[in-house]
This record gives sequence, C-alpha cells and structure tokens, in this order.
Amino acid sequence: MRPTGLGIKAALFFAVLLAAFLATAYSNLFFLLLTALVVLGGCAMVWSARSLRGLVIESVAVEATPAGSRAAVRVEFDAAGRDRVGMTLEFVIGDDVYALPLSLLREERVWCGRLPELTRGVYTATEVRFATAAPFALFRTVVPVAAIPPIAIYPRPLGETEESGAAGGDELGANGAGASQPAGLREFRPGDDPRRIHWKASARRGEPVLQEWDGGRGAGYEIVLDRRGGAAFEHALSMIASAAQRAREAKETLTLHTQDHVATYGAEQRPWGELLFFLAGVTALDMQAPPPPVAPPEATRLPRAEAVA
Amino acid sequence: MSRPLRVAMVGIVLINLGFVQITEAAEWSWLAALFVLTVAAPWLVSLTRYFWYRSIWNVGVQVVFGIMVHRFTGVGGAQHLLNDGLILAVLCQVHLLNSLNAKQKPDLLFFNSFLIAVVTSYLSIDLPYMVLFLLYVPVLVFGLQMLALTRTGAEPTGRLVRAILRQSVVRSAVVLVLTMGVFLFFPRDFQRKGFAGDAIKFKPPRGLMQTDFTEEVALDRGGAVNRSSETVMEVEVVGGPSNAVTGYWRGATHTRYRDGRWLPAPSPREGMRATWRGSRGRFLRRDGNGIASLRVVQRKSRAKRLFPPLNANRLRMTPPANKALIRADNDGTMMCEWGALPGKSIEYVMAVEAPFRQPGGKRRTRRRDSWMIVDTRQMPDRMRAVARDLARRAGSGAMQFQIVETMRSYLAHGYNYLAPGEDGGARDLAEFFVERKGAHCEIFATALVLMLRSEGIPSRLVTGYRSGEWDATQRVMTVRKRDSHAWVEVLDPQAGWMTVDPTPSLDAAAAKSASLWSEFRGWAETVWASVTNFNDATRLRVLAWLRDLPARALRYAWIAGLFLVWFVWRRRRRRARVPLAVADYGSVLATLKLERRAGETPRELLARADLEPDARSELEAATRRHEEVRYAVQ
Repeated sequence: MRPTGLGIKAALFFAVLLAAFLATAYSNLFFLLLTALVVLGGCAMVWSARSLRGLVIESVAVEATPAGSRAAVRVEFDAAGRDRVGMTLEFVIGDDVYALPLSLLREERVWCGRLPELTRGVYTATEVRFATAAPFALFRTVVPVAAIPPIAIYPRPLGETEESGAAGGDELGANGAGASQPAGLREFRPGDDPRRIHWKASARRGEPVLQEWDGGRGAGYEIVLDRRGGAAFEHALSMIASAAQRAREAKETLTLHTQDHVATYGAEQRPWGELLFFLAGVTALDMQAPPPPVAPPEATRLPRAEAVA
Repeated sequence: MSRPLRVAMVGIVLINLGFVQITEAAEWSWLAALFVLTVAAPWLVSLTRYFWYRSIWNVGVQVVFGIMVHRFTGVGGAQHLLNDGLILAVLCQVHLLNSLNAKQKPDLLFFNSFLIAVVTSYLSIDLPYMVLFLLYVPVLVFGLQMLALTRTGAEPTGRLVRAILRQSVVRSAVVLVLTMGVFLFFPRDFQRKGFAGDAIKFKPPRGLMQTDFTEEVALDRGGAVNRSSETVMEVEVVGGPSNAVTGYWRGATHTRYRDGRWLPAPSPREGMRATWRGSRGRFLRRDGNGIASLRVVQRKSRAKRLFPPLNANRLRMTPPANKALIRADNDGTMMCEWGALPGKSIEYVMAVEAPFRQPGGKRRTRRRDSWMIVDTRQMPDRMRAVARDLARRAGSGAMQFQIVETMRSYLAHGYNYLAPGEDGGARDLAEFFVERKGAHCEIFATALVLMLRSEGIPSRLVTGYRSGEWDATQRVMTVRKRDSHAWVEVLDPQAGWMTVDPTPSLDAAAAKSASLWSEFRGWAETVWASVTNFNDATRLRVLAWLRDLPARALRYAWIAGLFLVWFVWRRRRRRARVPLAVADYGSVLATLKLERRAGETPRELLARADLEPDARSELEAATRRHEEVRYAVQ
C-alpha cells in the first residue's frame, strides 16, 4: 500500500493545518476538525488495506481475439459478501500497463470487461494485479493475481468487422480452397447452412435449393503458408484466420503446411485455439529461408502470386 | 467528471456557503449570488465548451476579485479583510465547480472546503455549525469515494452509486464516532497558547458586535451582532438543592442615566443586606454556609469581573486564582484583576442562600438621592404618562411591589423583544414607547427603571448574564456570551434589592420550551456546547459518566433481554425454514473444515475434497441427502 498523489497532497495539507493549530491558541473546534482529518486518513489507510482482503479471484481469463478488436476478459470471483467498488484490473505487458476499471458487487460472481485494441501477436502479461485506491483515493493497494496464459491476438479474418463479428467474405472458398468444384443442386434440408443456398436456382424452382461441392470443402481446408511472403504475409494470415473460422463453423478440418509446422485442426484434431495461437505469434521468414514442405496439389497456396506481385 | 461526483461537489460547496453564511461576517448579497451559481453549476458547466462562456466567466471572476481588493485596500480598510476573504474562499469553490472539466482534478475543491470549515469555526461555533459539520462529513466521504471511483475510469452506474451511498453512510458514522472518541480521550493542554502567541488570532471583524457583558450601556448601539456561544462560566452544584441556583449573574450595577447612556456612579450601600468583607481570595457577606455550594469555573475575558448572584453569601477562590486582586463593591459586585494569573480560567467556590425573599413591608421606599432623580427630559412624555397611569391603576393602597409588577407586566406583555442588531429594533426610548418598536433587554430595563423612578421607587439597571442552560444530569449550568443580559433591581422596603426582569423574551422562551422542537434544540445546543467548551473538567465528568454507565445500563437490562429473546427466536425461525438435510450438509462441511467455492456444487466439492475414507463416506451421504432435498434426485 502506498499513498496516491491525492494522499501526498492531503498529508501536506494536514501538516500545514497542524502548524496553524500549533501556532494559535488551543481551540476545541480546530482540534475536532484536525481529529476528523486524522481519523479520515487513518480509516482510509485501514479500509484501503482491507479493500481487497477476502476477495477470492477464482479465475482471470482473456479470450483469443482478432487484431483490432478488444480482447474480452472474464473474471470469476467471490466478493465475500462485500461490495468492492473502484478497483482496477491491471495487465502489465512489456512497458505498458492496461488498467480495466471494475467493481465487484457482493451478489455477483462474474465480471466481464475488455482490454484495449491490440495488434496481432502473443502478449505475455508479466504481472496481472488488482489495484484499488478505494475508498477515498488517498492510498493505493495492489494484490497480484496468479499468472495467466499468454494473450493471443490473432489476425483479423478477412471481411470481419468488430461490430458484426462475422465473416463477410469467402475469398478462400471462391478461389478454391481445396480446389473444390460444384457437383450439383439439391433441395434445402433442415440443418443446412443457409449461406450455401443457391439463390438463382431457388428463384427458378420456387423453393430453396442448395449447391453441393465436390473435393476441397468436404475434405476440409488444405493450406500451404509460405512465410517468405513479405508484404502479403499479414494478408495471408488473415485469409487463414478466415478459413479457420469458416471451417470451424462448418465443422470441417483445416490442415496448415508451413515452414517447421504441419498440423491439422478441427474435430478430433488439434484444437482451434492452437491454430489461433500459432497465427497470433507466427513471424515472417526472410527470402533465403527454405520453402514450405510438400503438400497435396489441391492445397491452397498463400500468399497468392498476385498478392505477392 | 461523473455526474454523482459533480453532485457531491455541489453539496460540498453549498455546505461551504452555509459555513460562511452562519458567521454573519460575509454580506448576504454576495452569498446569494454564489448560492445561485452553485445550484446552477450542473447546467453551467455544460457551457464551458464555448469560448465565449469561458471568457465571460473568467472576466467575471476577475472583476469580483478586483472589487474585493478595492474594498479591502481603498474603501473599507482592514474590516473588510475577513468579509472579503471568506467571500473569496467560496468564490474560489464556485469557480472550481463551474470550470473543472473532465480531465482536471478537483483536489483543490476538497482541500479548500476543509479550510473554510476550519476558518469559520473561529467565527461561529453555534448549533448551525454543528448541523453543517454533521452534513459536511458524509458529503465529503461520499465525494471522496466518488472521486476514487471516477479515477479508475469507471462509469458510475446506478447500482454502483447506490453501493457507494450505502458505504458512505456507514463510513461517515464510523469517522464521526472515532473522531468523537479521539476528541474525548486524547490528552491535551486546553490552556495551550500558540507558539505564535497573539500574532495569529481570529477575531470577528470590527464592525461586528459581540453579545457579551460590557461595563457601558448605550441604547443606541446598532449594526450586526454575533451571538457567540463562547462559554463564560460553568457553574456546578456541588452541594445542596439545584433550585438554589439563580439564573441571574450580576456583573455591574448602573445608577445614573443620561442621554441614552448609563454612566458609572457610586452605587448605594443601602439595600444590600450585607456587604462583602474579606481578602486573599476569601470573602464573606453573612455568616452561615448557605443552602447550596457552587463551584464556578469562569473564563478569563476582557470583563474584569466576577458575577456573584444576589443571593451569594460566601466566596472562596481556588488556587492559583486566590492570588487575583479582587475588590468587592457596595452593590455586591466584584472586580477582579487576573491579568497575571496563569491559564485561561479561574475557579472559585460559592455558597448561596435561598434565592427569593418575600417583598412587602411599607408601601413605598422613600428615597430622593441624587442618582434617583429623573430628568424629565430623558423620558418621552408618553412614558411618564404611562408610568403615572400604571401606578394609579395599581390602586391607591397598593404595595410597592404591586406597582413594580404592574409596570413590569405592562412592558413584558405590551412590547416585542428583538435581539440586539435585528432590523427594525428601537434605538432609543422614544422609538420604543412612541413608535412601539421592538427592543432588546437594555431598552426594556432602562424603560422600567425610569418609569419606577418617576414614581419615586428606587431602582437601578444591572448587567450580567442570565442563563437557563441547565444540565440536570451533571447539575451544571453553562453561561455563554450570548446570555449577556440587562435587568432591573428594585429596592424593596422589606427584602432589600430584588431582581425584576421586564424583558419579554424570557417569558416567550419559557413558553416555547414546552414544544418538542425547542426541547430537542436545547438538548442539541447543550451537547454541542459541551464540545465547543470541552476542557479537563468536562472530560472528568464524561469519564465519570462512562464509569457509571454499566450500573445505569443494568436498569435497562430487560430491554437487552427482550432483544436477545427476539434475536434467538428469529434465528431459530430462519433455521427452521432451511431444510434439515441442507443444514446437516452445512454442519458436515464445518466439521470437515471444508468450504464451498463460489458457484461450486456439492458434487464438485466432493470430487475435489481430499478426505479419509470415513470422512468421505460421511460427506457422500450428506451430499446425497442434500441433492435429494435440493434437486429431488432419487
């Protein structure tokens, strides 16, 4: 616990008043006011020290988040029957301190907030702590929280906006992720993805009709990432993030071939979180680096030649 | 800056304005404008985004500042220093309130508010100060809490503000109780002189009259008056009945009147049944010990007087006050030179006789001493006519005291009392009698003396104190500066000098005292007075009271017993509402020293608990029963 700026000013103010009190003849009311000031300061110290006591932080979790979005933070806690207002949850990441204001009320168990927007990367919080200057902003108390896993800020999927949170483009699909080909039309069945409705054919037939594909879609996404991509590297990562999102929604798999890394993600494969974590932390290689490993010919290669050009 | 914080700041500034207003040292016209600007601050602050508004506001503040400086240096001189200083202090608060934007810190406003509370405590220590202080603490606490919340960047939602309000109430109470505890028990020197001596001394401005005892009586004094609550004397009954304590404490008698002033003149010895004799701090007027013994603690002041009542018959100064040079006069008053004595108060013990003696005897006291002769030019014609008429109305065979009572009653019931300095009050006897304006005690007493003398009844004006502030528990009477009073003494042919008080405020106050509000007010004033006049003696009394508290509390033990019964009954009833299996599960957890985490189910707790086989089976059984009752699991 240490005094805040206001606390230091208050101490100086008290010193001046004390000097005035000692300079003048004793006065009961002056003494009463000085006493009130001392009691207020003493109580501020005690209450500040107790403000975080008994608070049980059961978990602090930060979701993997696309770059440019504010990462969601979820805190599960037990306020031990007391309202704890005017606190901050602070993440020390490098030289920066990100402070989230929070107040934990006695009847609540979960608090959710958001970090500020971050660029793509894996952020390791060297310290996560609860801090408070409550109740009177005169003293600041800090309690560290158990270390949290690194925060993954993965590339923003193409076409996604922060407001919608949904993919707006289908670049990989349209350009043949897995080199898929239209195989035919069939009637719409419950459970089908409405985005796969073939609207022109539906309009002609007067009932919803679905377009079926052969090849890549059914077998999952197969992507080769050449990390020697230079300027288009970030764009390629965004495309992979977009593909991962779509594959996850379609309950398909995504196999990623890149230098030093070949893995398949999806159901009964590696978890999607690992891919996002990889995408958050992956870096470009220089042009002398070896090429990506051999992949099936139908695999989509990124960055695309036109993007590189 | 959040809205609740701004509301708290408005509250603080309003209380600051209240502090300044109750000193009566600042002009109301300025304060009224500042009150309006404070109340309007939440709306005005939204205009600060406009350059034209900021310009007008800042120019306005500078103009007011210029006016203050000009008044201080050019027009009013030093007497405007305090007035202008207080107005500038609250102007600073209002300026901050109306100018601070979201990024600026309001720290100065909080510090300045406390400074105003300190400075004004030297100028007004009456009950309104206590009310404002009791308001100030919770508002300050709430404001500081909102400040702490705002500094985290949090948006104060309704739930948060309500939570902070709840906490503020509790915390304010804690702060106030602890403050009073420290105030009562912290050892300190109540007689301490500051190391700066008299160089720093807060005094009311020169234009402001203090209500206090004075040697001189001039009817035409006017202007603002500060009715100070400062204690003059504390009188404790240490032996004998409490009703032996009179309310009238005599300082000086006045016999010669001219042109609206009472002039110093030798007072006649006759009528005093005995004069003081003695020296070296021991004085005796009559033999005998009296019916009651009083211990008087009198604060040293500019009035170099003791204030023995008419019925005092023995007086003994307590060391070191016995070294004071005391001179007793024929009229029973006492002068006291105490300049060289240490400390801020002197103490003496006094014996008193029964306060009332029956008037009667001869019809009139026939005296024609020079001081008794009334210059008719000093009395308005109407006044003489009224006096004559009242004497006639009393009847040709009326006793003197009957005439005196007729005249006293005429004044007490026919004219209004106005406190000194109040607007519309009479400045002389003509305004009082002819225009029937209200007046203060000196005018009432002067009128009665002149009326009595015009009928040949010997009388004189007495100044001193009259107090009704009686603490029956402690058997202590407190006399304050605001209790200064003037009344009349009439020379009765049988009883000697007797007290007669024609001022109606005392009758009115007595009538008012029956109301609940005035009783509460009186109680609050007594409590607050014990704070403002706290000293070693008061602390000893408080400690004695606390020592006796357990014994007194026993008398009310039955209330505590009833409360305990109610508490146990309520607890049992609440327990009965909890299903037995659930209560049992809680007991098992307590026995095994286990605690459920927030949101954890009994089954999850069972899974994580590391227990011996016996304990585990016990917990399993309790968990099963709990689930059966809570979740109807079969």
